Amino acid sequence: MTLLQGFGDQIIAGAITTLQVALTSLVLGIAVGLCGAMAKVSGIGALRWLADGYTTIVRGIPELLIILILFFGGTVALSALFGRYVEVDAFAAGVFALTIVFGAYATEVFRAALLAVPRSQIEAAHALALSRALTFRLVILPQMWRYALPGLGNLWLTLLKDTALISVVGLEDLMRKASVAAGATHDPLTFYLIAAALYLTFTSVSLVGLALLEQRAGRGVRISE
Amino acid sequence: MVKFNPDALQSMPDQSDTTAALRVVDLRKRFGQLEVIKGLSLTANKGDVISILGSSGSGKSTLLRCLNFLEPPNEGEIWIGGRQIQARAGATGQREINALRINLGMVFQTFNLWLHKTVLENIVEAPIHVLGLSKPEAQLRAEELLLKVGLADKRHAYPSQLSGGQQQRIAIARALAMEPEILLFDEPTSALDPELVGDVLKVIRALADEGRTMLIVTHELNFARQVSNRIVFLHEGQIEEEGPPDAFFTHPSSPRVRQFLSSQRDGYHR
Repeated sequence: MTLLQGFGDQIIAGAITTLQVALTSLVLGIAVGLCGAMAKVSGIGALRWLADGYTTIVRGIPELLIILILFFGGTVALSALFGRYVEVDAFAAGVFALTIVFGAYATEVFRAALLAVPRSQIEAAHALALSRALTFRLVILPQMWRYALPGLGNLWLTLLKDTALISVVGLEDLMRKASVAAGATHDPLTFYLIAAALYLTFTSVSLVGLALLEQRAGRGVRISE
Repeated sequence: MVKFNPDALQSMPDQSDTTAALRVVDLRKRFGQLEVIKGLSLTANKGDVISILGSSGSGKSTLLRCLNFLEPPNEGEIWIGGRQIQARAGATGQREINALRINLGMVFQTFNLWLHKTVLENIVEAPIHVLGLSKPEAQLRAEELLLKVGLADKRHAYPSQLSGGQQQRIAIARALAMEPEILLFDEPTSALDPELVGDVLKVIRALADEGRTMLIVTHELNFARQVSNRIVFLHEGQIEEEGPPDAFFTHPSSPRVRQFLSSQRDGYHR
């Protein structure tokens, strides 16, 4: 294997890890964001207070610091829990940290989207005796999705690139593989350019996917315009 | 909160009235300090078409919205005849409210069709999820209703592709699909261009001719006179005058009603 001086496989493996971390964090982060948004609009004081604290803290600290604090904090906490030194798995730590970060920003995106669904759409569901859960699933969720998608798209691009930060705690992602290859071959420019091209490919494909999703979410709304 | 009490009729036999489709007893609604419904009582018999008139701020819309708990009333009782549902304001649970809502079909001033769903989807969702109809059953029912309101060809359209008048007729079909005991119309033509009003009124008139029980909040005085068998005039959250349309329009006893009618005749309206 002479492709990229033998580092081709490594780079591909790194790229796959990057995608895995990003996609896992996306799914979990959306769940966290939805819960956070519902907590914020719930009108239940304690929940709102908790969600406000969460988004204020997480959005106010650099991502890199959050990753480091969660990684080393996790190591200390788990070691104390089991009474011996436990090293946190870099993948799990990365997903956890990015989920926390993505969830905080997604909470705000979803909160705005929830509030943007017209009251009259919800009243129509109530008047037809649909339960709260059904109203949420059939009316609120599909409509808030439309308002949330552009914001979520931005967050997804940020998330995809933030995976590179996880390499500081030892995750074998695209960034780390590129950096190792750069050091070993004394040809940093080539490998960093390749990494950049791969990130750009992922984000570009994402943008196409997002455009399709937005089109689908906007059905019934923009047809006549 | 309102208590659901199916035994209430047995324990209070004098309260049961077999011909009453809807009975409202001493309903009160406050927004903060402002009381907008002040102890209002109203009975609608089966087949009654009652038009509710009054100037803006008289509490007409709030009254309708209290009946199905879109605005939870502060005090009072709501009885739906055949189904023995009693809602005593202040202690109603969600299940009881939904039982009430199944029997009260609501048509809104602004139609409120779900924008992300097609006409057919708008009509079938509640029958499927609330009444437990199968999808084919619900679709069959929806198709029949679309024929009835004259919009069968629009079944796959989205609301944004329809005129206001068409949307309102779909909204009526959506309410009818639940087969409610009583239909509530909250200014059904007020948001429509004048040339679209006629089609909607025609549908409502046909429903009245079928013998459906309906409460209509409206500003269309001529229509109210033709279609209703009773007029209720609200003033500051209370019934100022009520009676058969001819008596109401030709010799109202209340000076407020006389003033209202003359202002409507001279004023801005058709």
